[in-house]
Amino acid sequence: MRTILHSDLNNFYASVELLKHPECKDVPVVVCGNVEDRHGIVLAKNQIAKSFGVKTGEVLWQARNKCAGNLITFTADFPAYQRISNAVRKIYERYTDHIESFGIDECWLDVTDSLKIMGSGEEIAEKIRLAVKNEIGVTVSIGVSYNKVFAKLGSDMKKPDAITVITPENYKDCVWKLPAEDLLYVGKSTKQKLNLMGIHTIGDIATTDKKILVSALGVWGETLHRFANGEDISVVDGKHREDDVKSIGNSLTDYKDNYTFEEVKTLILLLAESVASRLRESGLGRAKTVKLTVTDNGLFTCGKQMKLDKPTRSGAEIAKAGYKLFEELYAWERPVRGVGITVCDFTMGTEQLVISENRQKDEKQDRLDLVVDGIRKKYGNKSVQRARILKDKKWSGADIKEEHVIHPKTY
Amino acid sequence: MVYEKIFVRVAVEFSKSGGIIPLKFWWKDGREIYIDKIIIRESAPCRSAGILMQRFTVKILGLERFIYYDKEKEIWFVERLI
Repeated sequence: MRTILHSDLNNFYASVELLKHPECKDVPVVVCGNVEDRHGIVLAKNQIAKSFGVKTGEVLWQARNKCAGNLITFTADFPAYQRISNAVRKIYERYTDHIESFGIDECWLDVTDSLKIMGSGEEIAEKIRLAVKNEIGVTVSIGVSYNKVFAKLGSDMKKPDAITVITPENYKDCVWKLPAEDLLYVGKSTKQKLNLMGIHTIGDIATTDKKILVSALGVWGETLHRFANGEDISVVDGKHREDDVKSIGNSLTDYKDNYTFEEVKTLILLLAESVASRLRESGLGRAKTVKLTVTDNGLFTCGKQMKLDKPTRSGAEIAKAGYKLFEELYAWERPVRGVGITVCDFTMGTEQLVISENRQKDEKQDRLDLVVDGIRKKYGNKSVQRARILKDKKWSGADIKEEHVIHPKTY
Repeated sequence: MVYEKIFVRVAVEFSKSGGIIPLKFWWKDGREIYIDKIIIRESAPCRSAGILMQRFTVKILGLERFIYYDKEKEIWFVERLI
């Protein structure tokens, strides 16, 4: 049986801000995109702000009202968060090299091979918890289990600064009573479908006939059934497999709501440029598929993907696909808050020669992109920018490539 | 309890293995303060504002004290309670 840990840094952005501003540790604190912008949204909050009922994704003025004007706000400092995240990862590396990041503040660790030397899963978790607290000054919640899904559920059960162990003996007691939406990848729409079927808890998913779930949710039904019964066998994507990149993606949440396609176009272009640049650096060749995710101001996310006519590694081409996907996908029921672009299906350097009139144009574009990459490498990512991005002062100051990397996921 | 940083000029020695060893530092009034012994060097958060510090627990005139090194900014400091 495997031993998997899922470690989650508690209130991560807010905790880092409290290290930088220890004088604020007894007052409600939130981190938001841009403090001066009255439309700024809450990206993270400390325990005190949480006790006032402040929620992530809320607009700043709403959070201020809840805290009776005592709220302290900080602008997100992504480079600092990344540095702390790297330092915490170094602590994990003392115990295993099978580490898979899930965002900036969460990691899975497969410690199966370390048990003989380092002690049981719970003992390793305890050592990690203490080391992160004493050496870095932030706290973690760790779930210890025999698969990734239960480990993640465990890390959410007790917070902050706590360890939860889920075993084959106790999972029915502690996991099955949780609401269905706590299970990994049960989002709003899946939850609605499940609720309509009378399925409300993880235990309900586990005990419902697999065929019924498949008929309602497709192939995901079977996966969720497996997850709920502790039969998830997905591996922790360790260091040795980190070269095996399946997709490259970036996403961002805007400081404000976007009401027009023109505004969203800027976001898509910004992300496409960053993704294209990382794709060119990766040596994975060109991408054949582009995926777009859109988050509305209720933080509901939807997505769509498309195959490209010809593989590309150009920011402009990826953006073009992004625009098309957006027009097909989004019905503008609510304003847009966030966008994500991911490319996958790489040619790995072997490419079919396409006979097309635009071949010369494509080659020229490719050479231009490489020159721009060279300039950005030497003078920074913000040194050359598209005119459309320059129009928006906030985004022209942002360095998406450096600050908003999304790590590859195994699922 | 709120602490403030006092940045200090430090004389250091590099060990054969590359480790950094503070020997003495200069106080604001110019006094030289000798570090008698380094008890432990570890990563630890400081009590004033800052992230990812190296903390040296040292003995100065028989008393245990902390002296911090900010690797990123390459600065040394001690702390004072305000």
